[in-house]
Amino acid sequence: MAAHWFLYASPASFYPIAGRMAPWFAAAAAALALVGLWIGLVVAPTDAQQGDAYRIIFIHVPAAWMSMFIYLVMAFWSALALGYNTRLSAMMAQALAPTGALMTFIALWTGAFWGRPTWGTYWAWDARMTSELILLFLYLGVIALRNGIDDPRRADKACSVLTLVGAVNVPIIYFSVKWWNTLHQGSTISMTAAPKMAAIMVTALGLMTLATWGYAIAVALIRVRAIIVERERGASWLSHLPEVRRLVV
Amino acid sequence: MSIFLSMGGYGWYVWMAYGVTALVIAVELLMLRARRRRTLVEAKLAEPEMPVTTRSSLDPAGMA
Repeated sequence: MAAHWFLYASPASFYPIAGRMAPWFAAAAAALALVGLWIGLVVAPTDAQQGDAYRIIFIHVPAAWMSMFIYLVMAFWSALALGYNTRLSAMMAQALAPTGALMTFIALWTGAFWGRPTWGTYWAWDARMTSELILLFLYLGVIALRNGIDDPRRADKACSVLTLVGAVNVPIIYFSVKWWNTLHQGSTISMTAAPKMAAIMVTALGLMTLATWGYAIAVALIRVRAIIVERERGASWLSHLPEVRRLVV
Repeated sequence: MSIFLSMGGYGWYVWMAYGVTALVIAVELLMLRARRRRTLVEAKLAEPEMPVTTRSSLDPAGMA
């Protein structure tokens, strides 16, 4: 059984699997986002304290969670890439970086436009926001490092090391609101306590979180396919792909 | 409708947050599609053992 799983670690066999999975995650993301946005923007009532400004939570919190989670998944693939020297692991890490950067940007941007009406400022150098900004720089740094190294196998190693070193930032972001006195509030949703918001709002937040998961998985699968084609260039299995054969150049 | 768009006076903040989020997601999807198309064209051009010129409708797989 263990040997069986190594079959999927080859880019050539993962390419069609990723292609079959991606549309399902994309469709699920679209459907969940549609219902989540409807509930979040229309059905859920106006907040008693924050008015309608609170509705930013439905994109801010899922994006912020996903920005940290994608980094942890990237660090996981980087560790595998370093430990087992598997090319597909490094490709997975490479495929996640742009979407991680996107999620981080969305978290920072929507946070700014939520902070202004509720705290009176778009930005403050508090621990939560500063560490999230560092996360954005880490993602951009990993992408830039890869672009700066011509040999893909050397780029894999360098990017894996940088990703693993940067992983220390993720718990700092997560616990920053507990460790330091931040302008940013503590968590609204926790594993150990009842949510501090109405059930309909939690429903919308849950749907948007699942939609964000589906989106990130679909986009990472599509991107890893493009990366496989880029890096396997010249391999004979590529020229047998229907999407390559029917191309007229 | 205008009541919905005004978001109780917070329209600027809510729609700047949602609008730019939609915009950057659209940009990522367009860049991804362009990258996929570019890589497939490059794979086609890099075909090693099946040059485009040897294929015909009688021999679509280039077996001859």
